[in-house]
Amino acid sequence: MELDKSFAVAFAGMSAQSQRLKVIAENIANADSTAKTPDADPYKRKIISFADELDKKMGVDMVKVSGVSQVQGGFGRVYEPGNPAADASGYVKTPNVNTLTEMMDMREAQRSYDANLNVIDAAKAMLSRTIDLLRG
Amino acid sequence: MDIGQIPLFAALTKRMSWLTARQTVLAENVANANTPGYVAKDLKELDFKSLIGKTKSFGPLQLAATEPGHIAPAVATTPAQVVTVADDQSLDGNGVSLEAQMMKVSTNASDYALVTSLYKQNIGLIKIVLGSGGAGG
Repeated sequence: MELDKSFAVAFAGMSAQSQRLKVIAENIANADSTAKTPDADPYKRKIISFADELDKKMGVDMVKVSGVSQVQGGFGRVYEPGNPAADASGYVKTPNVNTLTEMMDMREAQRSYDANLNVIDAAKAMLSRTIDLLRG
Repeated sequence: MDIGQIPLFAALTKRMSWLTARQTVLAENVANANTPGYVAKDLKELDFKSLIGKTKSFGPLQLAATEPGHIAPAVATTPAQVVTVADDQSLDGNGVSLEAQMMKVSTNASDYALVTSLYKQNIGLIKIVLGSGGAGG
């Protein structure tokens, strides 16, 4: 049935957005995670990317997570001589996570998730209208 | 009598399947709202003439049923045409505007409601003729 496809695509969109939210949560939670040794890198910000994929069975463009990658470089430096990760001059490398950017990404993920929910609502209304035809 | 043969019901059914197909296309757009390089799609509007103008004699060719046991094949429906919509594109090449899609989804749902209530009304008219009290339920 045609409406099933709408549901399937919208669910795919929702699961993609919730995986995005998971990655954002990891970034925010690790915004202050430094390395254990001076020469190692601190937590690296992760970014998720999506790709459209044709579902051959249904013939619709689904969405899938095409990969999670780490952003290299761009670390901050904080003077903290007591930290075990501090280098010879007392500086510690901090993660390249900007919590404001993450917040903005989070809002966008939320908005896209809501949009998918709206599509499901509309498809559900259409389905129940069709069933109402039987009631006469 | 086959209700599907009545032009009005045939037109309404076609409209319903078009709206359902469009809902799927809109769902694809919304699901891919953050996919880089994805361009929004829509269905080509149904032509009113194509719904109403065709009487049975001008319809698609069908196999002749010469025996009572012959079953008429289902009429091949022409698939709705998918067109791409040129919305404003963001930096990653994604051309889906969630607001525009939401508008389309809600128009789609209310159009569908309109068609189903028309369908119901006309079934009611037939019921009145049959005397089974279509108006009273």
